Amino acid sequence: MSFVEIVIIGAIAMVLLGAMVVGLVIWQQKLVIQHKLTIQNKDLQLQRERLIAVLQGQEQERKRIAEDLHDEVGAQLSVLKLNLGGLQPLLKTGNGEAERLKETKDFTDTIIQQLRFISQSLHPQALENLGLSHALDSFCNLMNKNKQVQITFKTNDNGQAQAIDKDKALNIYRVVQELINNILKHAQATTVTITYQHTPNQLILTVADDGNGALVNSLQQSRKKTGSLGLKNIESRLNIINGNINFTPGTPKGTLATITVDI
Amino acid sequence: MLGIEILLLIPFTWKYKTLDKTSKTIYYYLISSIVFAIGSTVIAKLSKDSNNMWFFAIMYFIQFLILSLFYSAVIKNVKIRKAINILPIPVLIVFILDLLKLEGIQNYNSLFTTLRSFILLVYAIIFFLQLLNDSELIENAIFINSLADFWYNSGLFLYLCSSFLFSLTYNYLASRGPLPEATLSISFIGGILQLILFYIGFLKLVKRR
Repeated sequence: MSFVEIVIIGAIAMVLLGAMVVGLVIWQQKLVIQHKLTIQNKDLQLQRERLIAVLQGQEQERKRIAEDLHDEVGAQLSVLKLNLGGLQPLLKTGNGEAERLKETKDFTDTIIQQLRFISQSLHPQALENLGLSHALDSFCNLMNKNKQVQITFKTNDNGQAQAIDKDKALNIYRVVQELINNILKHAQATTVTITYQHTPNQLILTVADDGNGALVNSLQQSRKKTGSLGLKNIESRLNIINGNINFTPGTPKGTLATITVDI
Repeated sequence: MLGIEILLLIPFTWKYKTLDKTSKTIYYYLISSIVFAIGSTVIAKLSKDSNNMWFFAIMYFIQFLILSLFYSAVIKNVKIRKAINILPIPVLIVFILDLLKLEGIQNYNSLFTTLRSFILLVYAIIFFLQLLNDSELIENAIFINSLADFWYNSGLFLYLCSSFLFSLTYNYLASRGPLPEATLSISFIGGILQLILFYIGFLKLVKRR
């Protein structure tokens, strides 16, 4: 082989090697980034699993407290009410004892009502027994008894729609609960309408209020903040169940929150 | 080099205002290549002995300065940048020595050209390594094939690979008679690849903007 041929072959080899280097650089960097993305995905998955575990633990604890309140404190208060009722015929009249006893009995009634409300808020028993639609309806009735805002519940669920997974239902329930709490605290609304639409593949829930509409802006701002627990809670819960929430200004006023969850 | 750089110069000139610092350096490199191609042809025709080797050496040095600017802009390591900024001085000394003393005006200055190609190849490899280890790119999941600078560097690297051995052996090959056509073909292929990769880099820049 002549020197010229060696030079030519060497030059061709260098060009090929150069092209290989360029290709390898692209390939190697792609591998590194893909590896990094895989690790990030695993981290996210781990965080998600931790969040689910925390929320499940929280729910179990709430359930336990709700059951204790309902079954023990509630039962004892009911016995107390019965005893008070039993005392009524024995009292002498004239010095206002009967009135005092009636007041005490009414007060016990109020405590029992409050206790039921707390117990229901902590763990909605209707959710397990009757499903999400009924649980939300029952939640609205309960809220109407205790608050100034009139909450209306509308549904297209005639009871024949397929049942929603228990965990999903609980998370949706908590999201609606959190939204109503936000409305009560910030929106200065007088009426709230919850609409429940159920299709074979999707659940669409809208929460519309006639308040000051400040909720849209405050929610957008709190999205950027790190300390906004309410919205973070809503987003975390929806993230777990692959749902999303969208806030738009209501017509003619207020805020419309639309929750969409694939089922 | 080839003269077809004029074609590539059209989009670069068209979008000149949107070019970043490194793309502008590549633009100047393309202009210098055109001056090189036209100048060497004109000088070969005008001079009595058809010798344009001194013009080759001067243009190679000018291109080395332009490409040093490019690498000084893209390489992040402070020490290497400092070296890139200082190296033109010793290269200038070699260039003058080779042009006036060692190989002379009448010959191809292979000593200087080879040194220049070698230094630029090292810069190109350093830049590749920098891109591979750039944590900012990895953190933000930016693929290097979306970066204009990567494609410019790849083009330069491939061209330098194709011409390095010829730079080293040019005088020897020329002394044995007319240069084999294969040498020119390989240089042309390297040059065309370089321009294609420059164009890809340009497109990436436009896309990013």
